Amino acid sequence: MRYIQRQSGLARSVHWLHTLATLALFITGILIYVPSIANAIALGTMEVARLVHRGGALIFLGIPILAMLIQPRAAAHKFKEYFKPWTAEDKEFMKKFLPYLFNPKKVHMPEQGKYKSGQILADGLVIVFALLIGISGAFLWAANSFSPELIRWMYLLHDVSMIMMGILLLGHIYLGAGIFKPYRGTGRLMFGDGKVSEADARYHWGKWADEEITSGEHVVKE
Amino acid sequence: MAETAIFYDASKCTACKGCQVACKQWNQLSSPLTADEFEFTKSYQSPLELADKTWIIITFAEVDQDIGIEWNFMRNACFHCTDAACEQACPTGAISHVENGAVVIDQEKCIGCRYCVNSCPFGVPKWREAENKTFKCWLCQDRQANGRSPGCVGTCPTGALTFGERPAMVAAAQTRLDEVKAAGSDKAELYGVDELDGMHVIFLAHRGLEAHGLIRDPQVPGSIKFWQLMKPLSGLAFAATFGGLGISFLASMGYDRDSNNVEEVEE
Repeated sequence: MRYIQRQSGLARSVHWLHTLATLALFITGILIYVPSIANAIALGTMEVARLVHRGGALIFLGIPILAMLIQPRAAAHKFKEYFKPWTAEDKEFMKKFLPYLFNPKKVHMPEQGKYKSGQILADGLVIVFALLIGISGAFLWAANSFSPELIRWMYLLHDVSMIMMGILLLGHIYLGAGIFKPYRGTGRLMFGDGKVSEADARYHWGKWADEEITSGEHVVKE
Repeated sequence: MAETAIFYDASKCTACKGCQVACKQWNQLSSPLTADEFEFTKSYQSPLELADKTWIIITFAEVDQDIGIEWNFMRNACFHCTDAACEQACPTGAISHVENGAVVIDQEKCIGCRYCVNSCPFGVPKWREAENKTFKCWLCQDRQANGRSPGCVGTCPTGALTFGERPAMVAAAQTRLDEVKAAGSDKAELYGVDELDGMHVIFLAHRGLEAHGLIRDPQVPGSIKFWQLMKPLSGLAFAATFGGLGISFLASMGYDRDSNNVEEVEE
């Protein structure tokens, strides 16, 4: 059976660390957002939650930056892919995405390149809101150095960004972990060995799969 | 229990700072003992700002006049607003109104988030780093419970501070306003009667609100109102997302890539 090596070791390591940081950020974020939960757990929970939240934020924002510094060419290539003009198939994918999500047995999705247009859009939103949540979080961390008015708007921005990140994360888990039946098996890409079977690759990223199979550079047989 | 209030009459205040000392003494709030702890500002106002261990100060607004400097004093401490921004911003319910109308902080519940610090339009609550808690005037609830006036009022030698049930204090303030106006202070105004739905410290500013450094028509910051919507809004957003994904999951059950009957979606 043929597989394509889609994700590198570095990408998977970054994803693992990001997963752990995100988990820590959401758990501690909920404790900070709804203090009655923290108070019900134990005395001092809030203090620990705050500390872990800030540490998690540093990892969450720092790891991708570190990865970009380690492999700048790969990062540049990825960004280039993100800013490619959308093809007719990309636009069709976006048009059909919601009908497909609610009726996958009847809706056929167009072939996609290395990154689906929906994936590019979601990643872009994640980057925007991660920056907003990071910037507003930095202001809140150093709240004493800024005007109360600015800090009040930062609270609001942090919360709005959190809601958006939460919704994007739920969607990401639903699709990425293969809870959505047509996506079953994709979890292996980031949490496993980074390989995707030829059949899965053709289903999700048809054009890219064709290119990879033809070149054979990342194809492995198991 | 009836609502209580302090009436501060700036026209009677000599800025002796006895109220500052009494507050520190009664509430056991230490002062910095280091030499030159405060920056020299050429002003008699000391200290310059409220702090976690300084819950009341008399401010000196100095205005140059032909006859020399005119001092406009004001009592700066918690205003104990009815529409209190700090209470609305507090995520733990640590800040609340007690029966007599004062706004107090329950230190057991305070988590030191400083939302109140950044919400109060007057900058009253102050955060203490060592304990990670926020502090401010509590209108001496312990003294009130024993039938006594707050410490600052009890020590005032000129009668600038009086204390009693709020309607009586408002009436006294109105009477005094008429007196000072009749005596020539035509800019005199009351503060705290209606502001933020009524404060529990009523002020007579005999030279006008701005002259004494009071904020005219203070408001709870608009961002606090927006921010209060966040929790229900986030709950709704996450519930809708879970619901949508749940429906999608049910729709995807039984999906078989090889045998499903694919039809083009209508565009």
